[in-house]
Amino acid sequence: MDDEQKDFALSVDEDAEERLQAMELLFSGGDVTAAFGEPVTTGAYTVITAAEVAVGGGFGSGSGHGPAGTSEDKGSGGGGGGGGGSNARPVAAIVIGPEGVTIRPIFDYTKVGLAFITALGAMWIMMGRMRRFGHR
Amino acid sequence: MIRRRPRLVSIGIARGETIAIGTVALVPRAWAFTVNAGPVRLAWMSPLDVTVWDGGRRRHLMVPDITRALQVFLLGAALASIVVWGRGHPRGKGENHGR
Repeated sequence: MDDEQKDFALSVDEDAEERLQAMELLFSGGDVTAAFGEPVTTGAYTVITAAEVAVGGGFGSGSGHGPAGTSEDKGSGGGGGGGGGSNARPVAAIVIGPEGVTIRPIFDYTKVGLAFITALGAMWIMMGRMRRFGHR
Repeated sequence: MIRRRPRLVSIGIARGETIAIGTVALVPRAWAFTVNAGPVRLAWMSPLDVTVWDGGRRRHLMVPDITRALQVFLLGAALASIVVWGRGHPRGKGENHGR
């Protein structure tokens, strides 16, 4: 492995280490900065975003051996894998300005619209099925 | 911190560090839920409220999650309507109910 490859591998390891540390902080349950962002100041106003954050992950590994037999038949293997995901959704913005501190909710029209359509669809389907049963 | 020792499942209110901006100081709080089951880790955090000290006055400002509230309301309305209609249409009139 030449120096360039070694540097690249080291940088990847450092990145992974930093991400792991950040995830550990969030998983520890004490890091409110995950939900409240860093204050951003523009002119006389400072804004702090508040977001709902969800993170999940897991890993697993296993190994096994082949049946006991001659030395040629013996075999063993192992493997491991992991996965994870995260989701963040803005909830509100805390605005600190000359007129004081105000909280501005952030409304997700798309999400509520989809929930509305889904609820109406479920109600419509159930109503149709119940009417059908009632006529029998 | 909501956790003092490692737990499988933990839910509670996490208090953040004080944020000082000019003459205003804020202490944010959030709901926190963690699962630490062997190789599986889950964490969820949602803003709850902010305590504001501004010019000697102390106020609690809630952080409203309107999107989630409407979603829960719509889900509740759908479930309630299905339950109400279901009670008005008792099963047993169909041909495949052993009668």
